[in-house]
Amino acid sequence: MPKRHAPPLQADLLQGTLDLLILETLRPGPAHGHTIAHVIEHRSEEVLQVEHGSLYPALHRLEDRGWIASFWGTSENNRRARYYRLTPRGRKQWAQQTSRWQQLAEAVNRVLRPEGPPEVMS
Amino acid sequence: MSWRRFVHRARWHRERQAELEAYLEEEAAANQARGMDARLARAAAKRKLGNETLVLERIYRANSIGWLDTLGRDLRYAARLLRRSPGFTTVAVLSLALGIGGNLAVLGMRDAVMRRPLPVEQPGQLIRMDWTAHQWEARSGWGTNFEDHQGREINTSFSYPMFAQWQRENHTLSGLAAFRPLTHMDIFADGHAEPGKGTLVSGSYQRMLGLRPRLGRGLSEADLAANAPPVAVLGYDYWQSRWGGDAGVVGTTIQVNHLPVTVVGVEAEGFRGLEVGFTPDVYLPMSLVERGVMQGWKNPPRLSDAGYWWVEVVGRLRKGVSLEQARADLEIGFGQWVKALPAKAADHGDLPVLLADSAAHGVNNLGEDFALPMLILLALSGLVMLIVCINLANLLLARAAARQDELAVRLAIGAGRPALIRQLLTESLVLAGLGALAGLPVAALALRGILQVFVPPEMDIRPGLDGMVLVAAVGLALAAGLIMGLIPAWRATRVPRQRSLAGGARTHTGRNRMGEALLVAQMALCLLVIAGAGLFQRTLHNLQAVDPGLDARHVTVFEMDAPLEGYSGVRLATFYQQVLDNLRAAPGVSAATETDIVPGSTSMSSTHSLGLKPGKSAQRNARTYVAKIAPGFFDAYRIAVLTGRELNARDTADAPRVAVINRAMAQRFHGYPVGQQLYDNETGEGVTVVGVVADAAYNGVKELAAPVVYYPLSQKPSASVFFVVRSQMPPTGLNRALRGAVSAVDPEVPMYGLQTQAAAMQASYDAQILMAGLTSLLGGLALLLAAIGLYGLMAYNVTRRTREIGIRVALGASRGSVLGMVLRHSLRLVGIGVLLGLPLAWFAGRALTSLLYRVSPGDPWAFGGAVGFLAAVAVGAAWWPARRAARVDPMAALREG
Repeated sequence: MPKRHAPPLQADLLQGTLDLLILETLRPGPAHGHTIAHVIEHRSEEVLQVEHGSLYPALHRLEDRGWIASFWGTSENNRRARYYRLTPRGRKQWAQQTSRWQQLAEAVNRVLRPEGPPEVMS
Repeated sequence: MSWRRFVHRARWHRERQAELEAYLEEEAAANQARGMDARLARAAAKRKLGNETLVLERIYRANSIGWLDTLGRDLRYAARLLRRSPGFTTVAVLSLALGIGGNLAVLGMRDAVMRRPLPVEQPGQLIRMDWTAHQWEARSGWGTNFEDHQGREINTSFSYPMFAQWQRENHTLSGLAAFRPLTHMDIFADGHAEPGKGTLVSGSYQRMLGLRPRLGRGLSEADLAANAPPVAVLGYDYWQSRWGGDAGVVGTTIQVNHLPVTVVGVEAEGFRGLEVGFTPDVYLPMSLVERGVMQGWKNPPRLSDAGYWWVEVVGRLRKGVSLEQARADLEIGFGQWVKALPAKAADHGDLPVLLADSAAHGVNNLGEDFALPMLILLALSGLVMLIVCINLANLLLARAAARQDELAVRLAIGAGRPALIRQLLTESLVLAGLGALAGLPVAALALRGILQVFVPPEMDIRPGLDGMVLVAAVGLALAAGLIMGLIPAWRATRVPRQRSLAGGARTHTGRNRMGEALLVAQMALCLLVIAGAGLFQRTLHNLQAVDPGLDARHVTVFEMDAPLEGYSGVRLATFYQQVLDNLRAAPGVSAATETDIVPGSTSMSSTHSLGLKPGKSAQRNARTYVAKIAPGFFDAYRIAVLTGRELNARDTADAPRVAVINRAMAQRFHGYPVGQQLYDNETGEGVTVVGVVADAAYNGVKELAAPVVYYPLSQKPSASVFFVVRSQMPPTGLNRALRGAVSAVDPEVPMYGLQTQAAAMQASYDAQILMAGLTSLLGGLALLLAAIGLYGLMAYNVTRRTREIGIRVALGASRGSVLGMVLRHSLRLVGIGVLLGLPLAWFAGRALTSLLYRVSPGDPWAFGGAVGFLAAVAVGAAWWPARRAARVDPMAALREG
């Protein structure tokens, strides 16, 4: 259970984690960089502090891979902003990466908190 | 990562900037909405975003192809630097152009003379057959003889039956072909006759070589049948030059030496016969010999006489068969065949040995002659290239030293050493690239010059800058760039940072050891090149100074081959006599005579063996050269008659057989055997010696004291003869007069090879002329480059030592002593280079021995001259820097420091 006072984690600590978070953020619909940054921060209850600038190279990379696409649009505050949306390939990636992440997380959790008694006791 | 993005990375950059700006506005607006002051809101947004530049840079770098971007930057930087010092750039590019151009020209020559593979199917499988023996001479025949690099005399001809037997009985070749080049052809087509060249070929020629004719068909076995209609195939080049590539020529009839033949095809484009330097105009089936295509070639019957050696043979190896296996296989038949020949008196069991060689590059008698010269030229031009590189390395070293401040600053603000080395190497590679570009036209010009000045026209070679040479240019540029750039780059970036930054470059007082070492090496290499050139110049000088024993001045020669025009027997003798009479009567002609060889040329020679014992003899005898001459020969050539008489008009065909011998021949018989009989060891025929003449050149000018026997042409006629004319008239007038005199007898009979006697003799050392000329060019180039290098180093040294010199002058050193100091320094460096170079040059000279004439590999003139040239360069190149040093104003120098 994450706590408010826990020290913020560097979001790109785990390779590809930020990518997954971005894909997840974009799943409901297109968003611009500012929104994405805040959503990630907010939904992780401020544990995942993204230095907002570092988001942009990641966005660029994902776009380069064809997982997301971008377009210029108008923000809620009537400002010109660059919007990103998931591409079909990105959606596939999201599904794959999410399940892989969950497997990984479960595996790590199992190691940290073994359920049930030890196998062999003499 | 895509190229598209790379190309448009600037636009992308702007887009991202806009995007980040949008973020800032959004965030600032959100902050303001929470009640922040506008300025604070903006600042907080910026904090939240982080380092904007870094973000943009990360994106930019992700878009860029790293090395390409750096390369572009390095190139731009290098170009800017080179533009900023045009003097340095010009000198560097020019010397590189000369070095690379020279190397390419030599490569092009070598390629043309020997290395171009034949444009036939699988040329690597082709082999040629030759033979060698110490004394053994073919009973009769006509082939090319040459000496190989081991000093063996190689003979290229075989008899046709031998060839036919090989064709039937070998286990190692998939095919064999015989051919015979013909130099004197008279080709009549479109209403006029022109001299031309041809090749008689066996029926297997076309198929064995795998040639696809350009037009029509090639020759085949069927064309050799006794009753086959006479046909010919045209060479592609000849078809182009004489018919303008008209396809209508196939099916027409032309006359070759007055024999009508039907043109059935045009040979493949690019194929110029098997012999390098001899491009046949027509290919004829070998059987045309029996139809009289060559007058006087009917007897002995060349296709059936086993003892008449006259065709050259090439074969194609079967898959997996080695050259030696094929040679051994063919030698079985060859040995049996040689033994079956009528025993030769002079053989003594010294039977010929069969040789086989690759013919992938053609049957290359030219190549044999030029193999070593070309290798030497290649080595010398390589040395010159090395000198160029060292020169530039030194210049770059000096430049790098002058740029030490800049480099130190760049190192200090975080440029990595590899980055700096890369930058400096890029500069030298750019220079080398420019040099190679400029070197291409230099090479083209040099090749044209070499062809015009040094290569005799009868050497039919076509050097060009083909793909191979272009690849070599790129390779040379790369190598040059690396060689000249690495040392300076390495050293320049080794600067201890603080010292250089703090002290400034001017305070360096240590000696420029690396530069001096390079210069010494350069001088040693330079000595090597100049000494080599000197050896060849001395050789040429010696050859030109040879007293050939005859007076070549004002003598002109030309050849006629009247049997080609149908003359024979008495008509032939009368024709030649009429020509001779007309020549003698021509205005300005003081003497005219006739001979079957041009003395002192190497175009033709014939030999046999003579003895004192009557009848056929097994007496072992050194070779005797044979010349057939008309009366007036010794007079025309001013060869002294030592005793007895010369041949005269009374030595007619019906008169007793007589001969004149030279002194060398007479010495063999321990005295002047005038009045004695000499017997042909082979035929047993006897002749009376009527006179002894002084020794004169026969086969080239090198071999002066060879035994020669002179027979009267009247008693031993020759089909083709040379006319020799002595006249003081200028060449153009004389040549016109000679043509007039000849055409007055019969305008149809052409004159071949009209030239001066001097030119004919000079042709015997073409290779040496070529070598002396080219090595001298390279030597001059090396000297020029050495002078530039020395000047550069000395000037740089004086600049570096300005302060020290100022102190010396302030302390009382005289101008003269400062001048002397700089000159001594220069001389010392050159001296060390010379000392290192001399033994090298001596060893190198020994490799040249076979090409030298009366010059030892350590010839004092050549070596002394080379040292003298370098000493002159040492003083000359250091003179201006020394003068500048002597004029240093001590006050100014000290203040500047």
